[in-house]
Amino acid sequence: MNGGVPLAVWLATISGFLAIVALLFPDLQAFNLVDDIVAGTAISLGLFFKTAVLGVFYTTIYTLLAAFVFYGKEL
Amino acid sequence: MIRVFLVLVALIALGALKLPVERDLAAVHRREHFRGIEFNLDLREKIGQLGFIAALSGFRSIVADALFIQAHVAWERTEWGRVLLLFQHITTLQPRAILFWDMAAWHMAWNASVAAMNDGTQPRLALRVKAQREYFALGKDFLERGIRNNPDRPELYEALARLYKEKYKDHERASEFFAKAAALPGARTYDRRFSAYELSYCEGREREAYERLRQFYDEGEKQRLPTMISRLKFLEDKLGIAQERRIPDAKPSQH
Repeated sequence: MNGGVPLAVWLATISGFLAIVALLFPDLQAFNLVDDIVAGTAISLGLFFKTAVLGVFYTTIYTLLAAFVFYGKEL
Repeated sequence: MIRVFLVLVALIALGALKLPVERDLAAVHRREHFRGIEFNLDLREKIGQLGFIAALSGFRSIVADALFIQAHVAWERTEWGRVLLLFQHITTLQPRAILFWDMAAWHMAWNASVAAMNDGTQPRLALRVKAQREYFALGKDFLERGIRNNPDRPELYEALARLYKEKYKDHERASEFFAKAAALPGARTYDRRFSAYELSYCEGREREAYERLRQFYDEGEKQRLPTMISRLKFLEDKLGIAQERRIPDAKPSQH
């Protein structure tokens, strides 16, 4: 790493970037349960409701924010 | 520009709210053994480019089913190497499907091992036995990995117990795994009994086996099955149980 950026700096940069991504974007992996359902795994009611509430939260928030940004713009 | 800035601030504030919920959900997924598959280069090499793209795009179960059909065809042609390879892919893609682990172990430990033992092209018995043992080990490996991926399901513990019983003749381990299966919700009622039967074959553990079998016997008529009675009688003789404490002889048939 002579003359280059130290590894610790790289790692900190990448961690910071990933933290921002996690903060701004929804975690859609939470809804990826279909393969387990096909394999016969039971989805508990608690998990189902938590996932459903998270889905409603994402839909509402991102729709409202998108509407706020694009409101009154000529598209 | 102000709007975008305001939206970014709102996203960051709401993001801080949603992060604990997402983390909690991810923890539940891990605890319940969802997300059991890692899409890495190793898998890419195994299932080919098209299969990998299909798996990535959410068709994981369909890719696994297609490979399962290919494995069935390979089995019909007795191409054991191909059967093994395909089942490794299938179980990687669908680690929560019990059927695939069970079937993979059955093909290896029961079918391929017998084929290896009856291999007419190999005149040396020692090498045939060696190949047979290798297939047993492959079957065991499938079941052990299946259990690691599905520790809450009794079926694979039971299959591993059968493997120890029938292939390795290791009654102690068979008893242990039947007992583990019996302890899980959804286990078959006979697992408990089978654990005690297997224990009755273990040298030095006859007393423990006798007490467990006797406990079942005392539960009532429904438990007094032919194997139960014959194992109890065998243990009574072996342990020298007093006549008055022994179970009665079976009633003569009414036919």
